[in-house]
Amino acid sequence: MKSITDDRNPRNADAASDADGDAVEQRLLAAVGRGDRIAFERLYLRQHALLVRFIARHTARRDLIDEIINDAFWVVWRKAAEFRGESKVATWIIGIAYRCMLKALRQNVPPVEQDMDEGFELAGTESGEAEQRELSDWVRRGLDLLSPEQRMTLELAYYLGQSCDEIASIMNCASGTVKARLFHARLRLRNSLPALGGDDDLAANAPVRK
Amino acid sequence: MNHAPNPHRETWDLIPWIVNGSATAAQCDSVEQHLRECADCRDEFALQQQFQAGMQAAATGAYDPQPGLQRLFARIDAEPSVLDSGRPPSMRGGRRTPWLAAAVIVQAIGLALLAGMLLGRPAPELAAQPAADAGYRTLSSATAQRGATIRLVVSPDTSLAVLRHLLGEARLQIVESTADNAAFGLAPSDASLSTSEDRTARSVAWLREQPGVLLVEPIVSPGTAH
Repeated sequence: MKSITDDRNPRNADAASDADGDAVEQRLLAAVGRGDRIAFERLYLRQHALLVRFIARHTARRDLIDEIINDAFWVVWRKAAEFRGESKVATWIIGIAYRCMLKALRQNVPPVEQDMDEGFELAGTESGEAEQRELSDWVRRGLDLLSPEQRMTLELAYYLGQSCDEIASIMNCASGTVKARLFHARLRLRNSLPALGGDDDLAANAPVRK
Repeated sequence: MNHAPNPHRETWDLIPWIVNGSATAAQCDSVEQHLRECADCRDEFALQQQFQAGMQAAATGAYDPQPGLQRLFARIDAEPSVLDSGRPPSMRGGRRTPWLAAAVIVQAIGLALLAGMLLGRPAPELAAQPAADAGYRTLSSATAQRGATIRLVVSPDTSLAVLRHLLGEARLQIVESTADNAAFGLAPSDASLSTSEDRTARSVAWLREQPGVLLVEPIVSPGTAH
């Protein structure tokens, strides 16, 4: 019988492959620390799409997305030799990109409106595009309800698949803070966000137990 | 007071990590067991799954990374010192500044001076030769004091960082240079490394495959050329 949690993120469905990926990236990063440009290029290409997706949630400006990614990898190039394996390589890079993004967004006020439809293609097949768009709009409305910290925490968890400890490391806070932010974010979503597709009992009206 | 664990709250806290795939197997089992019995938590689990799916679907990058990567390489080329220091210096700023270009030029001049000093310093076995021989050498002259085994010419736009990377990978060092630094004589960087023709041939073959290398050839010493 199919388990209730079987539909969870496939990223976890193959933990061994995830570990293999990190081992590959650790080798690449070690080579980058020795000045290996080919390894640097491979690492850049491995992380690029993920970082674009993450940063694009905060700005639709491609020039700014490019600048943030390159600022982050500029730090990666210079600091690779100092990486001591306290976290996954991807988490380390995301943390750097996160700080670069905060800095870039602060310097580029007012914050750019998130307009994911402009310049980016929605995922999915042509036939499912409308559904994907509806789902994305629903998510966007939900994220708009949250504080910046809550939104970022949710994005790191659901967009990049980071664990609680990894998010704490990236956001430089305690794991308890991560849990608290997520708790309040979800409470807000559950009580405020109309359910998608009219399934009212799913979100809007369900009581919260604590 | 009763401090018994609240299964709803525990499940609620674990749901995001189940949804994003970072929970442990034990946490998955615990949540699954609870979800079988609790409709409210099942609803919350479904909501979070839906939300995560919506975030994953939001945008995908039909986005060529190469232009950005090439700009980054150009930026790195402007600061070649990173490759030389054992510990990379801390980040000094987000944007390239004119003094970085000046630093590159200073380093290039330093390299040229170093090559000049090496050429001007007579090796013991050559010290007895006429002074006229010590002042000027060309790469077509007899093998250098420290035994150049390879002649290398790189394209004019090759940065110092790339040149150093090539030499480091091939474990070679510059022991000769023409007056205009257009061509270099190379020798193994470590005295313990073999100078055999076989190793030289391998190094030559590798260098020929590298971008920016215009000419590379083994130097045949007078003693072996017939």
